[in-house]
Amino acid sequence: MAKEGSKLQYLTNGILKENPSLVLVLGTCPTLATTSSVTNGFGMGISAAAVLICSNIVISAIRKLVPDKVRIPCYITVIAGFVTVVQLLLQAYVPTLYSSLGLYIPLIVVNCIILGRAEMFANKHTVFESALDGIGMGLGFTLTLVVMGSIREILGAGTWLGIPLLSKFIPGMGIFNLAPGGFFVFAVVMACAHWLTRDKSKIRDTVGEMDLFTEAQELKEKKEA
Amino acid sequence: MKNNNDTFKEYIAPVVVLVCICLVITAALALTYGVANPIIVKNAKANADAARQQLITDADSFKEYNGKLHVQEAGKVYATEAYKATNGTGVVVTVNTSSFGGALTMMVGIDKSGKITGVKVTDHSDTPGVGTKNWDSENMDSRYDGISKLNSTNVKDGQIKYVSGASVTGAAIHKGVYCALAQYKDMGGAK
Repeated sequence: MAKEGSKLQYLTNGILKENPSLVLVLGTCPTLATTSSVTNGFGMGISAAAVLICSNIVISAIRKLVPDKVRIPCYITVIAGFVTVVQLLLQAYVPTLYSSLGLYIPLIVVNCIILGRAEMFANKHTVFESALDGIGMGLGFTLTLVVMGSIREILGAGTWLGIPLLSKFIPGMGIFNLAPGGFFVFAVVMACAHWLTRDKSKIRDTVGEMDLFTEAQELKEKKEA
Repeated sequence: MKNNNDTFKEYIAPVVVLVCICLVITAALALTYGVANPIIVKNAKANADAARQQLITDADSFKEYNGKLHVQEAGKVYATEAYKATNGTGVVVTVNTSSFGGALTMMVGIDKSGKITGVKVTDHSDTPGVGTKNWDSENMDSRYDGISKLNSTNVKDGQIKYVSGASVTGAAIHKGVYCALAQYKDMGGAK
């Protein structure tokens, strides 16, 4: 039972507790670059998740065959292969998404989340566990991109999924579509994620305002003495 | 014997494994390419036909121009194909130009009086949300409409509105339009 619980944890960890973008701070480049709209964020999230799940499964399956010396080139070859497959399929079947994501699709190859999970998780766990981790991490990444894309699109363009919301009342704040806006939103969403996952028992142990005040008073008294 | 085993583990096995993985991935890619490429080519042709029709709405059909294609800057800005409307209502020139993210492909429609009817970017690798503002944002996609002559290849010469902060893409498009107008002239108009 405990084992089943822990396996479920592999799936749920990536969503918030070990969210790849907000907690592990991996894949920041696509997180910032593709979240100028919800559609782009969602497309990127799903594409990266598909590559992550497939590469996790394959890397886990071949982990005992791959010599340690060449594991990184092997992983990158597998990841690059899946990215190219996703790129070709998007270009053929979802050309609008392909054209809006542009150069970020090939960049999935160097997305730290995918290589990071291959190195940290897939090469030490079974195929099933790696698949669960891939799904969880992929969902967490997609969720982050959708949340950030929603905030940026609503504030930056006044629309959500292209549907006018704020644009009827106030003009969009263009900065949210640009890199600085990406960083603002990333910081706020990251802070919210940390607030939601904070360990309350640890907060009590940290230095509070009163402790700092007492420390300052003591230092002052020492100096005066 | 042990030495031979070590050599195999140390040098041969990694190479063999890596080569095998590469071969399997190559086979998977070849299979996907075989499935996806005909659809990609079909989509590209359908998009190009639709784009040409959008640019010259009065055209009944198009015929490819087989003459010399204009080169504005060798290897950077050049016409790749030109289509004439069979009823002589206009010309659509496809231009490759060098932009922020690499090659940018665009189509320029020019009517029989030599005026631009529209500019359409069909392929690019520029930053989404930044470079793309040059055709996505309001009034920017129609800024060349009605123009028959550009003063220079410099986008900042005051003749045309450009997007501040994304002027590399704007400059690339401007040069492309300049090249298309030159191609139209070289072709001797729409007739």
